[in-house]
Amino acid sequence: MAALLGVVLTASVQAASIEVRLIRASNETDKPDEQLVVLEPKLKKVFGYRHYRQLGLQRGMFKENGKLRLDLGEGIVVFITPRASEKKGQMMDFEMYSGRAALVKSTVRVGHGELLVKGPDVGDTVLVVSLAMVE
Amino acid sequence: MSSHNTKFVTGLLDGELKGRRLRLAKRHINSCPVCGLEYRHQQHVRRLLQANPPTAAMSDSADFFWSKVKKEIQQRGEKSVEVPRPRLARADWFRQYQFAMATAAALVIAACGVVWFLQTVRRAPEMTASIPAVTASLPAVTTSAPVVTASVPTVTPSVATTAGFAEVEQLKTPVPHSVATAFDSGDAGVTVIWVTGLPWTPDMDEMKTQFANLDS
Repeated sequence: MAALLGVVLTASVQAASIEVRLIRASNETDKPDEQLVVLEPKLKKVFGYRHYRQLGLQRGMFKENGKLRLDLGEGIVVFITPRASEKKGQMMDFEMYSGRAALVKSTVRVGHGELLVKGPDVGDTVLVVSLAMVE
Repeated sequence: MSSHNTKFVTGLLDGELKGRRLRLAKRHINSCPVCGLEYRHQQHVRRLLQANPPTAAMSDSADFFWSKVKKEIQQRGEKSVEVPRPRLARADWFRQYQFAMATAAALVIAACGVVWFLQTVRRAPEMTASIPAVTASLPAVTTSAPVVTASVPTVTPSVATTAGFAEVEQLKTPVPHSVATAFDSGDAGVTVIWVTGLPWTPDMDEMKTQFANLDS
């Protein structure tokens, strides 16, 4: 069995609010997580696991020149630093930490779509972070 | 046949000798007067016995004997009688149960095959999980180098203009021996940052402990 831990960052250009989820992907046979009804089909297409469970959810208001710290639980913390608000989306620095270890450092532009980050493998599961802008 | 061994004579008369032993025994009997005499003597005795088989003599008549047997059965009634069972040597045991053993071995092999097949089927989703559908790959950055950046438009211009997908301008993973790759999944309609080479941990507690002490 494999599990996926994911952080989902959701960004909305107009409302400038960001939503980040920590998701665990596995091949368990539990019933689907109702919090992931919209996202689960996409997760299945990308990662292929049968079951996804949301472990943590954090939302934060997007502020210019303000660094957001979003603690998703299980030791996973995401830092969001806005760079520029553009027509195509919000430019930002995205950092994902597990404990002291920085797993990913990236500069991304997020518009209406989601950004999925495949994190570490834990047993037969995988941790995924999902990021999206929300209105 | 250098000696006058009567066992060979008996064996020859019983038809037990085969092949080379049979030829040697016959040649010896033809050439040796002592053994030849013994052979003819035993052959004569056997012919006499065959011509005059012993008759079984009963002291009682058949009907009277049967009545005694019936009486004995009735006297014993339901009393169980132990019948001695021959003790089998290991080789005899294997020979006696060879079909059962073969069936058991076949079942074990079949069971192993089923277990292997089920495990293969279960792992199939994991295999697909490690090979995501990649429609456009973005830069892969290793940790050994300093921060390596690449802009998406120069790599895959179509990705940058596709509505809904995020754009990854810079990407790195500071964890040693790990690689981060970004791509757009056309099927799912999402952008994915795929980090490989991170330390594997058996459970969440171990993950927190291990990553807490991991310098990046």
